[in-house]
Amino acid sequence: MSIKKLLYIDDNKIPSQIDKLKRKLKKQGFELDETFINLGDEKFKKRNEDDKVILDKSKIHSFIKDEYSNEHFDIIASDYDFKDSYLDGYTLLKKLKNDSQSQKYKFRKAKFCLYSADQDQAIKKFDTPDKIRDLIRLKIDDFIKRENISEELTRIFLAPEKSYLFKEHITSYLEQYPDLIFNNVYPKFRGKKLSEIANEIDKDLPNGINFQKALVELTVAHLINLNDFEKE
Amino acid sequence: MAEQNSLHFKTNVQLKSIIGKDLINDDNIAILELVKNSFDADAKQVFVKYLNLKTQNDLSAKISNSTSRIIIQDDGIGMNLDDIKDKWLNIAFSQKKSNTKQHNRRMAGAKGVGRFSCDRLGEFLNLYAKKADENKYVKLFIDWKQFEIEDEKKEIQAVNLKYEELTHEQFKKTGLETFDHGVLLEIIKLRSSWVYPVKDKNGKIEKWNSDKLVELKKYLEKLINPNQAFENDDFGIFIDAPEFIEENNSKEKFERFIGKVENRIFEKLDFKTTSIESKIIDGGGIILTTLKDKGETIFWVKEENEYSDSLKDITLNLYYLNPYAKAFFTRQTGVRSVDYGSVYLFLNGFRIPPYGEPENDWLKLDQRKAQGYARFFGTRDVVGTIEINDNIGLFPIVTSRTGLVQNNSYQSLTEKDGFFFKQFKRLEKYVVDGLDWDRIPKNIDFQLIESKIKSGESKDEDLIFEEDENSKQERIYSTIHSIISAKSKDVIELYINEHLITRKIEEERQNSEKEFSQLLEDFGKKKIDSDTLSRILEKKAEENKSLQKQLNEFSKYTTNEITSKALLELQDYKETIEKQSQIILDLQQELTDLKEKKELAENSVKSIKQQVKTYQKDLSLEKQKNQYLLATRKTLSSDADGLIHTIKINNIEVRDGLENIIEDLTEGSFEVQNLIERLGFLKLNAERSLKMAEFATRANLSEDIEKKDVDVVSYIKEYIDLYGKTFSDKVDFQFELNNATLNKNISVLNLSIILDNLISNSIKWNAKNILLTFHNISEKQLDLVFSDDGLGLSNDLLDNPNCIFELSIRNIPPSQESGSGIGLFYTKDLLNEMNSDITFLGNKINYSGASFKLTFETI
Repeated sequence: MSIKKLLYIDDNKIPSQIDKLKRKLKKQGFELDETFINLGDEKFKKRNEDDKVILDKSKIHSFIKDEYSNEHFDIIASDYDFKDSYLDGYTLLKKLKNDSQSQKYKFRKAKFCLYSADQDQAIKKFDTPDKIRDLIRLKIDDFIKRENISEELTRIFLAPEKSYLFKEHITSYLEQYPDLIFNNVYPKFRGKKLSEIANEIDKDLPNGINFQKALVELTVAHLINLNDFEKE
Repeated sequence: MAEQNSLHFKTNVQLKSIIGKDLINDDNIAILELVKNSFDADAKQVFVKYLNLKTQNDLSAKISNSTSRIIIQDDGIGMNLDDIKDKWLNIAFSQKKSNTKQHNRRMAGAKGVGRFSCDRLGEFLNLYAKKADENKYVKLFIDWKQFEIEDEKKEIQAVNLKYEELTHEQFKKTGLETFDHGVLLEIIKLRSSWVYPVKDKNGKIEKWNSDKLVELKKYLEKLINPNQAFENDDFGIFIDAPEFIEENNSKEKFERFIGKVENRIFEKLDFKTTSIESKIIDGGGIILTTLKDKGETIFWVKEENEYSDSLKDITLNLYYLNPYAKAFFTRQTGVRSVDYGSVYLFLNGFRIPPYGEPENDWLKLDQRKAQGYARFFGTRDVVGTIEINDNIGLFPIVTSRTGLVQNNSYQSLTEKDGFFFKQFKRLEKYVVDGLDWDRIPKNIDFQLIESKIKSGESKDEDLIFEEDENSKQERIYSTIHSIISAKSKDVIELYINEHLITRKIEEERQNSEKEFSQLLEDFGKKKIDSDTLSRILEKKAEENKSLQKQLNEFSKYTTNEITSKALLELQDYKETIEKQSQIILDLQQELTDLKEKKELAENSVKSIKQQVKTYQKDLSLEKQKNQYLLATRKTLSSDADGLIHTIKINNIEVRDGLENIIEDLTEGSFEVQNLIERLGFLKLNAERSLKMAEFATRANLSEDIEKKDVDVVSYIKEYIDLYGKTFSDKVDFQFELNNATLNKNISVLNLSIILDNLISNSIKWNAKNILLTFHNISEKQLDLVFSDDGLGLSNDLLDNPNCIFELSIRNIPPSQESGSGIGLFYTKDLLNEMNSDITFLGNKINYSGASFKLTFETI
């Protein structure tokens, strides 16, 4: 059974909804592996100068970075309203998405979704052209009503890929045999594990890019040779 | 019985040689012996005159006027014929044995054999003697060869000696100078060559070498105690050699041998060196020791003479020679101090050779120095004298004239804890510890200065020392007691240079007064803090301690008037220091009081601010309380957005949860326990909704009902005050608040449900009274003990009471009123969610029923 991985961030426990999501995915042949970041937990809080308890952005950021930057997720979802004066789900997702792109976190390929129990209230925050522009640039994959989390996330999990990504295809292939050692054809990768090569490709490092090019050239050349073989 | 016969010793004629020329094997000693005889005969002057050394005809067997001669002539009491017969010719007779002092002098000789020195010096002797009350001179002629025959039967008394009595006129004819009283020894045909000619290659005499005469003069100089026997210049030795006037005059001053023999070696040293003088006085009972440095007395001490049995009348003078002093020594004496020798011993005015001569280390100073080079003096570092006046025979001389008999007295004088070393070590310690050896700077050209000193160009004031006087004096003062090193019980009186005592305090007094007035000024201007005062106090305390120590040291001794006066100044200064310390202490107290007052004021401002804050908080809570709990009913408004938000989340969970359960039930795939758990969760959500509905009818709710900063204690108290009775009319609540407080960001909704669960649980177990006791464990932790007087936890659960918080365990109350069994499970779950906890404390803790402890923590 294929696994779908979800990271969700909320200040409330929503076990019934997650249970419902699991059931839905199971029916489609997927298992849900979910990770919950509970912002109700005191480890994410601090007192500000007015002695008021608020969420501690840096603690949340570094926790996610430390624990999950090297993990793959299919979806990262967050509640919009953390009932905090200084941090909401949009701000948090924006930071996570931007950091993951610039720092090449593994979860950068996940779909980023926001959900809210009160979308009307949430949308009121985007009240200037700049905020709208930021929202568009951020390319959030979906904004979901809280009561529909299980349905919407199931849909997103199961949505067919809109485009074929050669790089992702090849890295997922290589990662199926992570410990195999590569020996021939591309001298710069001689002696490397396939998982290490996948990493070079994934991180868009020069050798990773050149390797992909070489692979295409070799494959095409091989196909041409095979043509000759067929004629015989 | 056999007849008793008698035998007797015979004195063979050869005895003369044994006690004469063979015994006294040094010409200088021989002269000395004869000079001593003159001294003992109360002579004021003794002349030693050499004649016919250049022109002698000693090769001729006969005596003539040109035969070489030494004439030793004194003006002592002289002898008459009887004296010559009974004393001079009486071998080994010495009046000095029975009468150690005569003519107001201690007797220098003692053996009665000194007269045989004449034999050592020359082959013939003419003795002329005259007493003042006699008219005639007695002349005795001795040809010593008469005794030099090998005849075992010939006894010494068998040799006839010719004598004659001469009138004044007859005596004149001898060519000798007449005298009223005294003895004149004319030693003829000298056995030793006192001078010899230096010839050129043609055999012509170029000059005469008179070194032996110079040696004699120097020898006699050293023999003469500079201080002791010849006080008031009452005994003079004069050397004359008329043939050698020219040679004598051509010599350096200190090399000249004609003239009076004087020992002035130490005269000027006194002013250039460090010296110690120690005298045994008062008939041997007291030792008076004075240490001087460059003429200034550093201390003197009168002590009991611990050697009084064996040492009676001794004076010790020791001089430490620093490099400059050594140069001055050479300038004055013409010899380097190292060639002069070190510590000479004089007995009754005459030197006891070989003690003190160069290379002679009779006191084993060099041996001692070898064991501790840097700290000890050797023979090259000191010169000095030990003068013994002995009229009771404590110090016998060995017959050969070379040294003293090493008896008890000698030991007391010379052994390492004896009289000499006691004083020697004081001088040594003073120089080494106090003066640090009186070093001269390394960078100066000492050789140049040395040559200038020797030539007389440099004077005292030109001398440069490595260390300045102040530093030296400071060190001397700090070590003075260890330098004196006297047993306090032995000290009769002590003097310590008053300037040494007061110099330091005068300097310190000035500094201290200056510092103190500055301190007062600074204090006035508030420029000083308590720490600085503490430091100054510490310094004063140390100073005081040091002064006390000094006073304690001095208090062991009886000090003389001047020293006592200096000590009074020390005491006075100590009192000044104490007074200053007290004033500083007062200032410090004043400063502390001011600081305390300031802190008090600051604290009171702080406390008022805190109070204002608390009031603001209370006001806010009061406001909230009114908003939550006391506001009149009203319809929901836009203010209830938060409430709606929570209800929505809650209900979505209920909806989805129920859907899941229905699905499971439909498909028949479920586990009862899991089902109960999920249903419990849904029930909790239902309770939350109910509670919210309750709140909604009473309050203008803000959205943070799930995240609210509240004082947990106040909230619980108010919640129970308002809602307690809604559970049962029969239950009463008591609170012990203990001033506890805990500000926590909390879901008041969940906290209310927790309280509901606990109260309804108590009621189910027949409780009529519930006590809530609060305690702050710390600023960030609060304990609430929830006790009731119900039936308590069933006995069968008491072994593992905390299992009641598990979902599968149910404790059915006697009322058989069935609970869901999930109340305590979710109570714990909700508490854990808010970083808090619950445990079962036991039955009959406060009341007869069960007690639970809830622990709340905050950030």
